[in-house]
Amino acid sequence: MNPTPPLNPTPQVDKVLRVFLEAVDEPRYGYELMRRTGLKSGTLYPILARLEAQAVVEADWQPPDQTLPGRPPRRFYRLTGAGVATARQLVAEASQTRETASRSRRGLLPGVEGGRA
Amino acid sequence: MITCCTVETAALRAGERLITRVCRLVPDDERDLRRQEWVAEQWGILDDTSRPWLLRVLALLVFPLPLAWTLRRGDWPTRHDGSLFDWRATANTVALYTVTAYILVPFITALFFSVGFLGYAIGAGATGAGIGAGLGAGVPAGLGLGLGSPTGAPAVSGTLTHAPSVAGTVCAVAAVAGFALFLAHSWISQQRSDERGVG
Repeated sequence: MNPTPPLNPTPQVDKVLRVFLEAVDEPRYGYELMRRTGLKSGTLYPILARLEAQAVVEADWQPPDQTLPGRPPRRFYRLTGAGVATARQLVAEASQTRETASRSRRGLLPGVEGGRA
Repeated sequence: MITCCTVETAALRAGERLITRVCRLVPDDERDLRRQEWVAEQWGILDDTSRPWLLRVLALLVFPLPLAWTLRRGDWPTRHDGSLFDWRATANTVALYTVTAYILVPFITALFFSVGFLGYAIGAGATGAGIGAGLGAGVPAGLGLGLGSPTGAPAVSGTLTHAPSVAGTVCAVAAVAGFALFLAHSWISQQRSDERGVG
């Protein structure tokens, strides 16, 4: 089996993980995450698949709402025990990357003049 | 009478069909799972009462499109050795689909050109300019240049001649626009393939 590509702390991954970290035990649906993060389905689901493959989140089927008959069961995602630590680490890395990029744009890093070559 | 329920049911069916098509690009071992998941999400989109009804229906139909885009680019993260052959077979199906499009689009374009040509020919011919003048007027229409009244014949036309002239113009313009879109899409796809180092 090919190893799943490692998770990079991209802004999109950061957005998804922040929603998960708001309430660690809360299950999240794909559509809910799409609305909360503003990500499109084509961006969100590959991220969720990657997070699941890396065991950061686990997925399970939830029975349909009894008040809304005829609905199929939905798949929800939840952070795993080990995934919480990984998620926090990735969010911290993403913040650091963002901060570094921001500082380099403002030319505050040593050796960087004006943030541009 | 068309009710909201009818439209919702039709949208759900259309959405489900779209997802089924999109899922052909998902690796075999995940296909059924993703199909069930995304179909269930469509129900969820429709049940989201925080948005107006029309937006929900539109969101439901738009939901699979970014997935299709991502999957066509081969960006799905979980590909296994065991499913590599099937993955390629699926990719070949897409290539076949593209090839079919390459044959169908010129054919449909040619059909539209013909209709545009005939539309102008008949319209111009009926003014009394004769078949020859009609064909003469039809040529620019067929080329998509016949906006308005390119020749004198349609300019003196009555209702009888004007209607086919407009139809001809619309067909010709649609043909040119459709073909231009097709060329643009082909070009963009080629650029993307080159960027990825594919094909």
